[in-house]
Amino acid sequence: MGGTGDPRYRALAIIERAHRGAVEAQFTGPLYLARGLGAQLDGPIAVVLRGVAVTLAVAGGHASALHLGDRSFDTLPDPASDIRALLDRDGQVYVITQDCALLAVPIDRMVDGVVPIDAGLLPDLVECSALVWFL
Amino acid sequence: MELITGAPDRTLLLVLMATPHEADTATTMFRLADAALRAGHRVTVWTCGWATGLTLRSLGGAKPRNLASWSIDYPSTARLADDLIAAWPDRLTWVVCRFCMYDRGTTDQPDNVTLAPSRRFGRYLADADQSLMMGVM
Amino acid sequence: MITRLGAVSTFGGTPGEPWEGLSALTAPGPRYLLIESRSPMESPDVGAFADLAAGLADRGHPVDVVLVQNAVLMARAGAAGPLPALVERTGVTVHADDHSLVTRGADCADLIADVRLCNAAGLVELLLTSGCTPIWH
Repeated sequence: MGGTGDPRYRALAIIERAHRGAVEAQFTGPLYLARGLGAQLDGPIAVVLRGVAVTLAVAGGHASALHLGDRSFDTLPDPASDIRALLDRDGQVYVITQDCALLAVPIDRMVDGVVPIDAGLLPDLVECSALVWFL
Repeated sequence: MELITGAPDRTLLLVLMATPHEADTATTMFRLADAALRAGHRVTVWTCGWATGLTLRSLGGAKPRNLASWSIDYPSTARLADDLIAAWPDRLTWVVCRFCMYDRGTTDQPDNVTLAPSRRFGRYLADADQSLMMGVM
Repeated sequence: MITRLGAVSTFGGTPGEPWEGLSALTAPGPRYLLIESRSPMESPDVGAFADLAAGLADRGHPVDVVLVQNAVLMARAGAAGPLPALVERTGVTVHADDHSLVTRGADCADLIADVRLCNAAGLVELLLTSGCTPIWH
């Protein structure tokens, strides 16, 4: 897991809170933060989605636009796109299978490349990381 | 802006207590306000706590640039509120609780919102046909 | 054990008698609109709010429960939470907000049977139904 560069900056981001403000956040959610932090590290970042945040990795979880007054507001958060961007930069994205089961989210609905893992593997991921952040 | 239906002309008071960036409550409030206005009702939005910051002039018209999508314009909540007020100038009233505004330092408010003392809340409540308290401070 | 509100002193009223202002303030509408915004994964209070819906229905009130934001995550068939039992209760109608579902990657085909889809306009209609008391959670 983690980056190919300096192991001192091998980072694991754990995201367990999600959907925290659409009109005010738009692109500035925890996945954007993970991307930004990863860009400043010497290698990609690993992201674990747990709790309700597993829904961030569902392919197609994006509304087209909201109509507010005369405005068509089309810059709503697009977490699946953020996930793809992380994966495109050689990042790794994991979802906790037990949380997917609790929410009845099928694993096959996830963005391609997202890896389902058992919750019991989280300590392994932490052990492999020099930097561990809850975002 | 045209109404979808004949104007029932009832007044809905939406009280936004929830802190932005904590949940999607501000989004739900915008959606409810727009839907009620389109249905011909009047809407009063009353913001308390950190929600008073949604209309801050210092937010500008747009969010900071997205470093991953440089050319896309992301409107600020201040602009969304301003646009909604402009679309429904006679039917939408946006009120900022003055106490909360001072308490949170969110004092840089635009001219098209009403700054009301907290004791006036009861008046808005009495003037509304229905109210919804959304979230906690 | 307190079993009825009328048996307790509330807000400084004479002990043993209900505060005289209370009935005017809380005169119950014949129907309730309970809006849940959180997932059971985020808060154990979600279960208590479902209990409130069931309790109101047991007292003969029609109750509409609308799931918005992360609360829609418990509307998926097979999801953990209090919803399967709640939809079975007589007098309780459960709705799930379409926008919240879409933004969380869920289809209406994923929903528990008997959960109805609702949009912002539908929620406004429920809010403005005569005699409705809305409660946001």
